[in-house]
Amino acid sequence: MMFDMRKTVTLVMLGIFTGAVLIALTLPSQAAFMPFLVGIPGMMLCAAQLVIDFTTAEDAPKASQKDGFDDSRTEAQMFAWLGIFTAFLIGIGFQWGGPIVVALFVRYGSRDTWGNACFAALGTFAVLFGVFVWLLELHLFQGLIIERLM
Amino acid sequence: MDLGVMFGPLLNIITSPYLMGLILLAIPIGIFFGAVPGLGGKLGVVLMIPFVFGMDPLAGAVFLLAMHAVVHTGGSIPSILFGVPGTGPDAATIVDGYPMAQRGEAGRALGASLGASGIGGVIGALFLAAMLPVLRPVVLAFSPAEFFLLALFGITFIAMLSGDSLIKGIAVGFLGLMVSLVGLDPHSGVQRFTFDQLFLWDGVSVVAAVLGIFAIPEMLSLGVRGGAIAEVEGKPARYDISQVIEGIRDVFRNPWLTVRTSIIGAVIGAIPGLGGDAASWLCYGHAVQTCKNPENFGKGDVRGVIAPETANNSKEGGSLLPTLFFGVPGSSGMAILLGAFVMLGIQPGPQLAINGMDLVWSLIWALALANFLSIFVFLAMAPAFSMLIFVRGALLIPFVLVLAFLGAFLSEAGWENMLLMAALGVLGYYLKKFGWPRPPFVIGLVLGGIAEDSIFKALAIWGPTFFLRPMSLVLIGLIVMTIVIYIIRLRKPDRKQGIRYDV
Repeated sequence: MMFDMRKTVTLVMLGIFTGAVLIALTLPSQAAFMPFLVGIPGMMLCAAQLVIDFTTAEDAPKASQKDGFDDSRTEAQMFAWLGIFTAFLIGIGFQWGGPIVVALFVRYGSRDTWGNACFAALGTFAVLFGVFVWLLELHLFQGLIIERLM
Repeated sequence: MDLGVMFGPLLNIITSPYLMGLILLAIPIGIFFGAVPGLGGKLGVVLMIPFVFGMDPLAGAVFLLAMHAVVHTGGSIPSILFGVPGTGPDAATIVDGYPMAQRGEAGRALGASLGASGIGGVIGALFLAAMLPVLRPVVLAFSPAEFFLLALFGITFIAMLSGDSLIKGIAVGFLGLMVSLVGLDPHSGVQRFTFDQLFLWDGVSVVAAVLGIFAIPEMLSLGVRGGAIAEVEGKPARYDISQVIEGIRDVFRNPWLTVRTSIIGAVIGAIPGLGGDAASWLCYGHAVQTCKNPENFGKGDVRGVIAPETANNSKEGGSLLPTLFFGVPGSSGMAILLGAFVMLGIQPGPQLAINGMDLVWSLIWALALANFLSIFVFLAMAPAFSMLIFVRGALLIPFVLVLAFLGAFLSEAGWENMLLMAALGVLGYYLKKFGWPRPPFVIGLVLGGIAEDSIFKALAIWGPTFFLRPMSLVLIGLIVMTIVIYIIRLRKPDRKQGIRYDV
């Protein structure tokens, strides 16, 4: 494949530096000084890395397999779970969203029993409420949906 | 110097059940704040301030300082067991501590961390004591030009450790610098890379960024890989005290490394603004450069745990120097502590050297005692921590993810930071997977503000020739030497596979 993930990551890095330098062009000179000082060498380094990526053999996937990256769970599934965690915690907050999403992960993500899922959820609630709310008296995020409803 | 002034406060503390009780109470609290990713010493001090209202200034200061002093002792726990830094400076401990845990030597790594932290903290306190007479010229020797070059040196030094690719290491360091530029430009006040998002006006939260780059990728990898964190099968989930003792012995088997990195950490801690992450990374690099068999670093070498851990705790002693005598905090944690001291009625500044030496010595001894006693408190608590490594990933991942999100939220009390952390987590996962070392990102992020401020000041004072100052030339020489050493090491056939430290 012409563009594998290894090269894509390098391209993303190059894109970040290039984007930052382009945005810096619109800034006043004082504000643009550091972005240029950092961004231009960053672009050059990433361009050099891209050349290296194209001229050297692909070895990253082998390393990944050795590390067990492609074993039981696909990356897509884990990214989906990251999205679910983000949505739940931002949507309904820590005190409710936390235990629910932990239970969902244990039950469906790792195909554990409902008993273990409930145990994990209760433990999460106990730590969040007991330590952070009750003991440390921190204000935990209630979630955008619950805040709007209230 | 009058011995009564030096040792009177020590006697006062150890004969006072109240003060000793406060120190013993502060230690587990500090370890807790260090061990939970995203909390850290700053939040710990902030949350403890209400508890010291009305206390005698000495008692309050001793309590807060003792708590703050052992935060990094606790921070090594998630670094070693989960590959998740409890606090930013603990990221360096992951490099060798986490591979040790994966090899089933979590207890030994914890023991080494514990011994190194305790001894480092005590040496840091002694350094503070020894430096009292010669403080001023040391701190004032660094000008803005040197601060800028020191930041560059820090990035180069850490990038050099990326045995696989110096280019990738420096590029990631520059990415960290770039991210540190997000926010209102300090000189013109215009928005820079904020995309009209209010939460970015004050810059990217370091806590959210560090959690995103380190914690999330580890949990994603663990989820993809499945199983427990430790790649050990069939071992009972039992705590083995002999492993911890063995780890503590490792510290005494490397006495010069321990002393050297303790002193380096304390010196870096004494330089305002650099006392945080730089100390642990520079000491890690120092260990790689000076120890025999450097190819073992990054693969679970106990010296890779000892070096950053001594520095983490010894720098607190160094950080107290500018904090107490100039009112210039040696680190961001010290800035919070400074505010707490003022709240307690202690006014840091040169006058402390004239009429506050009793308090200064009390704080020095409190620092030393907290670090020493933390060894025993930690030993009592370590069994539970060591057993956590055998917990199945399926149970661990969701809980750590929730804690990471919580840390990102608490850092700035903004839900947007949770989104930012998740996005950086995806980037961090691919950086990890394809060999882009992540620690330079953190160094760039932490030192970016200092670097920008320093270069503007240096240009204003000396113009474009600022780097021709003698001390600047020394630092430039060190940067060049670091790169040359990297290239020489890479060319040696037996070390080509060398120093792999990506976490």
